[in-house]
Amino acid sequence: MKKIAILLFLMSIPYSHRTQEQEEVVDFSSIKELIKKDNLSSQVERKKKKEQKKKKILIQREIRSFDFPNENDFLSFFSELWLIKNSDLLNWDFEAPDYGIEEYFQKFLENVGKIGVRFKIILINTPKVAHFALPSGENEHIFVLSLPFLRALKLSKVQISLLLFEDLLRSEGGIFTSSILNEKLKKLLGKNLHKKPFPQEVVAGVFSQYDRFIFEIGFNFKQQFQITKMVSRAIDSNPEYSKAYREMVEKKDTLIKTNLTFKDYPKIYPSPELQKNWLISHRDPSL
Amino acid sequence: MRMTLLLTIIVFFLSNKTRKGEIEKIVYMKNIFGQIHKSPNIHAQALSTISCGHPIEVLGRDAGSDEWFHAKTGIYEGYVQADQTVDKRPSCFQKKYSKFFDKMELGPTDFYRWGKLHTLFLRGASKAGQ
Repeated sequence: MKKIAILLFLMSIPYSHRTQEQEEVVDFSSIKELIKKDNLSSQVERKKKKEQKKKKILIQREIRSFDFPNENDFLSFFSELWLIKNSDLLNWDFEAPDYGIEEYFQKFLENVGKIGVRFKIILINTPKVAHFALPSGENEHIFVLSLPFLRALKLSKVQISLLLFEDLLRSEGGIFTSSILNEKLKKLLGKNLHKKPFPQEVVAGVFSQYDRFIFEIGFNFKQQFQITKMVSRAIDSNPEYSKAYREMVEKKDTLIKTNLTFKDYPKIYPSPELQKNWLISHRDPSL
Repeated sequence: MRMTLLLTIIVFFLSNKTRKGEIEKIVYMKNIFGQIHKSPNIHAQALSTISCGHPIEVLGRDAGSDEWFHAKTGIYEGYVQADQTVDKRPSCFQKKYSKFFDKMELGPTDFYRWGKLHTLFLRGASKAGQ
């Protein structure tokens, strides 16, 4: 056994010596030529380019992740976020009865020629907001609708649709949106904020402006007059709708004068009493 | 021999049919957040919140209506509102504007509420020629 081991050791000495020698005399230029012939260098080049392209895409993707939403995406996101953050106050997470409002409103819109309007209605179980339309992207609106308000007014489906229609016209008119999109925010919409500080104050300001407009500011007399006129014109040819609209405005006027829960309603939507008069004058062509 | 061959073919077709019956198709959550429910009802217990773009395995339709998919996502098997899903992976806000979304510092409660909000939304769209 020992003899075999010694023999193997002796045999390995000249072999290892020879490989060392060989390594010393390797001609790299000849290998280079070989690599060229085998297209290996071009393959390496291709791989390098592929890697660079991948890296570039990753960098571009990283930069794009700093995009600030465009106007539609921003408003859609914020309107929903406002509902999320105010869920306890607005109390929308409850088992509301199925009135089939969405189907009726859809038909109503088609009847008055409002095509291509997408909407989402959320019923709330509080009188804190009677009704309001929030912007939610292109031709899309979120309608917040108070169930206690609907019950207090005992509105029919046509009247609920008319109430939502008023809100739709307000939302399309961009009154609320323009109060949200201040100059600072407008400059940010659709821009890329890579290597720029995040405008925390501007974004926080959006929340407070949502609150201020919906709970305190509301719409002015001029805007209300315009909306009343627009609704009247749209439903003029339909006596059923026109009658229902007049009755709805009357119901609202009576409610705010008799029910303390809704005494602040005219602060946001002035004023059902004047609306009544505007409707009368609209019917009388001499006025 | 013939009998064995015939039996093999029948078994093959049957097993294939069962497999197809398990997963009808894969759909994706289209809204920013959605939910998978214990039963096909908007007020039913939510088993989990699903974020936009998450794949959902459709196992079938609810027998009562076309509004709900009997579906599976992750370890949860339940019901998902069909109109909250799309067949192709959608473009999602939280991915498109990931840094902006991160800055909102939203938590699991917000995600759950968002899913619930989309469950409760009464949706519609006015169309021409109705």
